[in-house]
Amino acid sequence: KEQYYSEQHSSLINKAYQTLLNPLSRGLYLLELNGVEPAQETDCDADSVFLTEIMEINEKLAEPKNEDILEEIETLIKVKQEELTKEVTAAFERDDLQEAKKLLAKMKYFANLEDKLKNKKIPS
Amino acid sequence: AWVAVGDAVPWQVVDHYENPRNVGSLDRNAKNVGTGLVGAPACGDVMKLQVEVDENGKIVDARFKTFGCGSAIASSSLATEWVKGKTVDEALQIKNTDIAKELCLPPVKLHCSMLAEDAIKAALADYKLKQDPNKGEAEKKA
Repeated sequence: KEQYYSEQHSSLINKAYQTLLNPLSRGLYLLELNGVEPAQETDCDADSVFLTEIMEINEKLAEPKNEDILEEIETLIKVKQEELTKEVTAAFERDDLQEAKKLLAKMKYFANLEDKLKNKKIPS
Repeated sequence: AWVAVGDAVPWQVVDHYENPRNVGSLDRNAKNVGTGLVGAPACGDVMKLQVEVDENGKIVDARFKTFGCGSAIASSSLATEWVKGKTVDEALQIKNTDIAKELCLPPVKLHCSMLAEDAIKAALADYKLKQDPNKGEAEKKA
């Protein structure tokens, strides 16, 4: 019985740690704690510049593997993620939860790109 | 991975994923081409759908590019198939529920079909705006 409780708590602690470690999941959790749901509605017209950028990076990533381009994309994604993390932090600090929600939605697109990049780098 | 362990992926989705129809782009600067670019913030999927409309208001060609899960790819692939041959107004009637039913999408993937419906509407709205920018502005102000 004690082992069961230990396993449960250990698993929970791991989950908590992973959630808080990653800026995106951390931000989404903070939204949840404040009773704000993460963005659900389709992004369209208002965000077409942003979506075009995401589309273009995706298209570059879909091209045959090229070390230089991959490095370029990796740097770009990292820079954008750092920028967004700073902006999200600032939004939370001034209690602008709606802005934080918007920014976290943007971070999700970049998180996906990061994953795709990682998969691309794995030797096939 | 977009395949949940223990859940069978509907063969319809696999089919569109392995044999996607109409992948590509149309000339977004052409007056008779409407471009819809949409994103799903919850999962980070992006979808671009384009339609080419003839002088009679009929959609003669459609292309899509989707970066996301298999269900999103299948939904947009099916959408391009369905809009071809329809008039602009007919295409506006396409519902996400029809797409989801055709692809046998599980509840957790229903938002993918919604994204495809939004992409169709965005593409058609863009086309309409290009035909009559003044009218578009007037409608916005109304």
